[in-house]
Amino acid sequence: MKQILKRLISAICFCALLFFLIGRVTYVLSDKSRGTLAEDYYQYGRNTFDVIFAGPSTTQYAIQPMQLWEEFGIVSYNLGTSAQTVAQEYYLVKEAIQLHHPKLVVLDGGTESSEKKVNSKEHLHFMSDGMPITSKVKWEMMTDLAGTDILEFILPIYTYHTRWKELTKNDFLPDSKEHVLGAVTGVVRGDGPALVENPIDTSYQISGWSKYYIEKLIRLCRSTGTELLMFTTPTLYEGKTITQEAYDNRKGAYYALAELLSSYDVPFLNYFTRGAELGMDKETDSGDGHHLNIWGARKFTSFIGNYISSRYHLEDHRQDPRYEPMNAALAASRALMTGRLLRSAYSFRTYFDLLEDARKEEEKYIVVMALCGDVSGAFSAADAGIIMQAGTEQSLCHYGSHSYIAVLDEGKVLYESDIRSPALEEEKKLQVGDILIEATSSVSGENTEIRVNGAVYAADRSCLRIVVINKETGAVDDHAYLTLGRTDHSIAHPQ
Amino acid sequence: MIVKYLTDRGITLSYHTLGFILFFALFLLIFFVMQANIIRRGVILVGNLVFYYWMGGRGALVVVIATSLIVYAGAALMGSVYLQFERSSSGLTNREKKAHLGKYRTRARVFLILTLVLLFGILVYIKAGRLLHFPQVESVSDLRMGKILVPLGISYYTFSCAGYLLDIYWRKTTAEWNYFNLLLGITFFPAIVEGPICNYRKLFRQLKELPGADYTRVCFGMQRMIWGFFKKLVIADRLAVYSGAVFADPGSYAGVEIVLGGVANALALYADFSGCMDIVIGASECMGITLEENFRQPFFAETAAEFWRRWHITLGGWFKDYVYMPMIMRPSAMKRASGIRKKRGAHASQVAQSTFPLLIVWLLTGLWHGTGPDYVVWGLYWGFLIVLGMIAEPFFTKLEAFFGIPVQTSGWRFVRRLRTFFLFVIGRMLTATGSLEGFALVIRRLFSSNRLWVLFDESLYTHGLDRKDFYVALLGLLILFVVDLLHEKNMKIRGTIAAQPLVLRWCVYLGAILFILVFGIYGITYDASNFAYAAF
Repeated sequence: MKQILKRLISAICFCALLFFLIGRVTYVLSDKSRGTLAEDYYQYGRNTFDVIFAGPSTTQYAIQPMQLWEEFGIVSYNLGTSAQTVAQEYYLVKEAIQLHHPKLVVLDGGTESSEKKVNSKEHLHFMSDGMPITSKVKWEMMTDLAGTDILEFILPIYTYHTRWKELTKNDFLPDSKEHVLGAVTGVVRGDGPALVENPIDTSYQISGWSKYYIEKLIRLCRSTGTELLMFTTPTLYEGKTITQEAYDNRKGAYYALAELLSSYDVPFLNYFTRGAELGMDKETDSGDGHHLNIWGARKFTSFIGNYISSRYHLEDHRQDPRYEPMNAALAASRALMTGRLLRSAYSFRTYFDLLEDARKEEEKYIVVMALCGDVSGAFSAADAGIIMQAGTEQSLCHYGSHSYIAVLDEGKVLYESDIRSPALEEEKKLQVGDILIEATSSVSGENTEIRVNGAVYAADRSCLRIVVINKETGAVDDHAYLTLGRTDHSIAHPQ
Repeated sequence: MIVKYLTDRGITLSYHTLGFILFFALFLLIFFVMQANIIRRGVILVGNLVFYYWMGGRGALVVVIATSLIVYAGAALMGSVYLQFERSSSGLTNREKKAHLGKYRTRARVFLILTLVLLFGILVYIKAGRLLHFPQVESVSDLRMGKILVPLGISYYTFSCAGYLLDIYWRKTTAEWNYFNLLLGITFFPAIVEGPICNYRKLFRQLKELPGADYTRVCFGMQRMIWGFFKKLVIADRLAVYSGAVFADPGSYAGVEIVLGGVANALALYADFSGCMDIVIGASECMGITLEENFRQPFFAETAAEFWRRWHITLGGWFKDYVYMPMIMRPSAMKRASGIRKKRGAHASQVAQSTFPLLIVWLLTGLWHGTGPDYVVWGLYWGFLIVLGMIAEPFFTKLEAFFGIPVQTSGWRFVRRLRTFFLFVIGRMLTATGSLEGFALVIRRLFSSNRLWVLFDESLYTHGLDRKDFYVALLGLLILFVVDLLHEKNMKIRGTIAAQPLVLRWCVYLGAILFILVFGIYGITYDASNFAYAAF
């Protein structure tokens, strides 16, 4: 008997260890794209969120729950996933109602345009992989949506194991998906041709599946006493993710959706064509025309926050001790966000916009810049103006070959080379608190270097080198190079 | 209903799938919870029927049950004839019994022939139907003229049943009187799809005397299954991607790529079929059933004849026991051989006695594998190789002695093994394209297109397997080679691992499972290939 017990325990331990390892390996192999359901959603206790947002990537980018917390004290979560359909929304909402009993569910009507239950198997993975296997709703959803491929949704390693060939460092790091309460942030400031406002095609019919699940959603919300609000996010210009034809089709689809929702008395904030009413500009607020960037998201989230806080009697929890961790999360998210945004910005203009924001709003960054090589004539007046946004005082476009070092702190200039009396090479050493900054700049390019506490950063490229130091932590949050292009300059980040 | 629900959701019970692992885990749990032998046998029977229904559908289940009834009836009729003989011959001397047996044997032969005609009739109908490109159906109700219902693993259980009937006829065994025991053996789920071709005498005996749960035995069985999954998923299905691409369109490939494709094809088939056998034998071992081994390191064989004593052993054994031996043991054949031995010596006698039976055996082996002309040629190719090897053996022995070749050195043995391996590769090329015209094209490309640079300009990695896949395949083959080498040296690998400290043991097991999970070729997105030998 003792022997049997020993072997039984041994077998159970073996299986437990095996499942644990499979879980870890699955995590490493899984798709880390931003379009997936955020990892931390299921870590929050029951009845945490008053408002739940769901929808496709437009929702993920446009709704920033942390901003809603900061500005309105609304506790919310963004369950957006890439190309989410109404059917997927239905199951997410169903589970959210069971878990959190939210007062309000806010759904992106953009999902309506899909005629399928699920756009693709990969998009269903984006949503279902994050759901725990113990979730009854997950099983119900898989039975309904997974079709003949149910096994790969129960064990995602079935699908993801082929990714072993493309693993990168990020796959092994925890929480590399950059979600904050489910939302992601876009930092590109794109631009494209303006969309033409053609007449709405009023003959558009909502697809059978979408209508079916919208009606199910309405019934579900009504039966559980949950308020339902639907919205669409502004589309600001024609880009890769939205063509003029798609724009016209969506207008028709949203017209039909509005008709349907009005027959059920469900409010619908259709701002698809009305970005300007929210003060949005196509040059500043959208990354690709269809998805709002961080600046557009701030405006849209602020609008949604005002709307729902004034109409749905949502409690302001900012003083509620139960939600104290949200304040800590806010501080942590702020701390992470600037560095994260900087590291993900590749546009010259966006990068310096972010540096400007960091300088104005957070005042905890030291920015060090050093020129490398002969860049005479490389910067136009406009370029120089963009660089000066970071707080420098001299325009780099006015002078010929010269070295240049600038150290900026809290919007002040700690040091800046005097380029009116150009030097071919120079060196600067500064101690700011515990941080030792050593910078050299040379026209020959051979000796240009930025050292922070002895470590060299952004060392292997020419042109303008930039190091962003977090004063609070003493860590370098980003180091980058400005790479000169014929028409536009770009920012590169070393690995 | 549950089976349909699960099948509709892509869950099949092919041996290399997660579906089978889950099915087997559940089966094993129920099997071990049950203590009484009779209930355990009942659990196996239910498992068999569910498995077969799941895999083959209702029609296939009907066919296999009908087959078992035919076999049962044939065996019972022969058994009753011999019982009558036993009763009537009690008290007779052996010589009198032998004389007395004749008329009973004649009666038994009638039942045997009738049963075999019915049994092989189904098989021949299916094989001929395939040759005539009849549409295949899964349901008995759809079975009309010009359509064939193909029950899973029919070649395997037909041969096993035929062997069982012949053994009864030859009085090597007695008939199984309990129909459910017979059905239990015929439908034994680990062996029904791809064999091994079972000796029912041994299987029935083991099924009647099922041992109790044994932790070590179950662990060993599962280890063997893991090894089978490794061979199938990591090596076979990976190499099959490359060889499949080459032989699907040989006209587009250089000679060196065709050689590589042929080698990959041969290795893939070995890893595939032997991997399946490891899963099957391992699963049976968990239950306490020992099935016959089907492979014994075939690529260590030095001659064609030895190769086939190591490859698909149960099929070779079946043909030897039930076709070859009866042919050479016929009195007329023995008499002729004896005459030749006196005139020309033992070797000439052996050649004369064996040649025709060997060619017949290999023609039938070819037809067993496939009904196309390529398989007929393939069978004869091996038949002639083995016959020629037998004829030329004295000549080669003299030649080796003349040149002073040290035949027992590892170098010379390696050369002979390599030669045998490439004979096998050529044999695979005969059938790999699906037609003799395809094989002719393969040979033409082999000698006409020598673009050796494809080995160096990365184009090798553009036919389904990239560089990383090749590395994994090579690593897998290296592991396979080392394991086969250790087996060849009679090392008990599982026993050696089991003797290691727990931490090391678990590292090996967990590492192996995770390696398969990560590097295996499987999943819904992958066009899951079934085991190559399940089609027979």
